[in-house]
Amino acid sequence: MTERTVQSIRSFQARTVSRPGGTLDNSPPVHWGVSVETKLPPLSLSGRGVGGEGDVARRLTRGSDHSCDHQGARFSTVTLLVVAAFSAFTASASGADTQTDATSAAAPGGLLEFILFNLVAGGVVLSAIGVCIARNIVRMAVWLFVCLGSVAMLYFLLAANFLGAIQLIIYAGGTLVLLIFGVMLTSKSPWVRFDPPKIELLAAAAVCLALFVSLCVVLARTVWFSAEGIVPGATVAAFGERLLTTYLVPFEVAGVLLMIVMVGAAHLARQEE
Amino acid sequence: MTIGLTHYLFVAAVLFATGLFTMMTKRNAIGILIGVELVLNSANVNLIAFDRYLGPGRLDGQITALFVIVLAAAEAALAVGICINVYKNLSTVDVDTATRLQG
Repeated sequence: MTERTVQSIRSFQARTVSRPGGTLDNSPPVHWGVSVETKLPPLSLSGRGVGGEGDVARRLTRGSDHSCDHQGARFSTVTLLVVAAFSAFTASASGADTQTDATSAAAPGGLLEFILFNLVAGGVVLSAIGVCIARNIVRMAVWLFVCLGSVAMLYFLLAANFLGAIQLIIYAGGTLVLLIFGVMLTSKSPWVRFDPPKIELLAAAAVCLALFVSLCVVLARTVWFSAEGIVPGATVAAFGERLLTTYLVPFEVAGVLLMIVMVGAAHLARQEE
Repeated sequence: MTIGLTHYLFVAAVLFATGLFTMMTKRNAIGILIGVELVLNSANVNLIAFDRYLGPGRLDGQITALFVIVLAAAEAALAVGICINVYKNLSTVDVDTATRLQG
């Protein structure tokens, strides 16, 4: 590769690159983003001769583009599968509920609750799958943020207002920021990937799928006894009262534990002189 | 068209399975920590759904979920501290390379 090729690749305004042989290489549009200078794993894509800076640069950019496309395709197929399974399960479970009337007695929800639950649960499921599929650790953290927020919405749907707020404040506001700081402090480059071997991926997927299917079978077969009771509205006052009477000892132990953990974490992460 | 306990338990099962998959396949220590957070969230969804449908008004499940959130925050703080220490000593957080205690 000559220097002219490198320059022509660098100035990638036109979609065609004139090569020294005079042939036209109409490659697909390549994103010239942040990925030129970073250390991306060069995926084995180019069947041409290796050598020269231009080839390396092309392989780098094509590697990033290819991996993004690959990840998007993977995500969309798995997402479609799970959405189909989820809607089928929801339909069957609601059908079973209308037949046996096992658990729906205590839930005067109706259509609005149905729609809201499907939206929020779909968000939870999709973002959880995004967490386990994403290979970049920063993307995992972003998907986790979406997932924690959706779980907080699920708590609001379950009439646990205080816990929904706590989830948003502590998880999405505190723990997640802590994790992102951990990511930033422990990675040399934002594009570092730790890829497990294929066989381990397959084994883990098989184990998790088997566990999930068995859980679903158990859930679909179980008939829960439903408590006919009031659905509490604002529960914060009752919550605090229970916390300071019945659960006083665990409350104090949790306070001591938090103090110990604070001191211990500061000690672990301190700079050595 | 009514939403019952089973639907919430199904969502929690999805969270648990994806969290387990994340823990099994990620090599980054912080990725494993993210999987643990997913599993803890699935436990919380279970607790609050049981509290809502099987014993409404008693708040036992919600208070247990609060303690789970507190313990998860403490665990995340300590684990991030440990990860930073591992990174200082080994210059990576790949759990496959941190085998110094393997014997």
